[in-house]
Amino acid sequence: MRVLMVALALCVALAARADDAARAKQHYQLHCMGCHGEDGRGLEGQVPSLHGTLATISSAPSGRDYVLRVPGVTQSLLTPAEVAEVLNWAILQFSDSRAAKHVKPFTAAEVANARSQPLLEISTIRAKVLSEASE
Amino acid sequence: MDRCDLLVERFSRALAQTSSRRSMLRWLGTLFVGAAGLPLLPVARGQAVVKEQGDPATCEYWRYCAIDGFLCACCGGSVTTCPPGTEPAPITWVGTCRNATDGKEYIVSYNDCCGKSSCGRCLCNRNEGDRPLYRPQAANDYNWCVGSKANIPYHCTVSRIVGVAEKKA
Repeated sequence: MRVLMVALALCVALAARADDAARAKQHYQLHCMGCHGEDGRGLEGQVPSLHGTLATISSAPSGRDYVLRVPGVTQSLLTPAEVAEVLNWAILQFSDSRAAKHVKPFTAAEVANARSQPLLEISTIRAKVLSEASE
Repeated sequence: MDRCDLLVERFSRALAQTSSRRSMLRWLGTLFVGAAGLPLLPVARGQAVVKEQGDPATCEYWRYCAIDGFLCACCGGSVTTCPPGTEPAPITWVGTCRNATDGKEYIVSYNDCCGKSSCGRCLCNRNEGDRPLYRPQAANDYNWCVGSKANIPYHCTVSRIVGVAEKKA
């Protein structure tokens, strides 16, 4: 009986996680995919790829601040909690597991605080934070 | 090689001494039952065939609920493929449409086909869920061919289903 209870609890937990991931994926498809693409690879020279770089940038404080102030985040119709969820999903989805492990999950409070100050010089700041995070 | 044989032998003997055939049967039974239950888990099954009705060469076709442009189905292409001589813009406008046949909401990507001048046939402007231009991520009035390698001329638009929406977003 105990084994059955544990198995049931595990199933419920797995189903909840699957629901969260499905919701985050749907938000990605509706609010991010139009520019970053279904596979997150962006468009060379115009829309940054999320592969690898999102996890790298998000592992440093200056990079996290940058990610939360780009146009896709500041102009998004999603709530701060939904933005945090979709970012955390995208990091797992588009990064190798070792890089993703070094990233502290984004929180709704962090998103709400940073996204109220949109960036102007996006490309310059991106190059700077990417260089700092890679050191 | 001898050392390898010895290791395998020791492992096999240890396994035989600590487990019974019944426990093996129980373990295998659990594995098979678990494997049979896997398809019941709530995971996305995006490859399923969509049951639908309607004419893709008319504006009323359900996938066009948020379209603004010429239908590629009237321009030598189809509902999902660009006509010869054009290629899909990688940057797209994404929305949700309700399929009346199965009652589900689907996530639809509207890809502009670029590289030739405007098709001029079957102009549709339904705009469900469209937002003003100052909401660029949710506005469909842009010419997305701006981001295309096939150059800027806009020809027509295709509507590709990318998933099932759990709720109207």
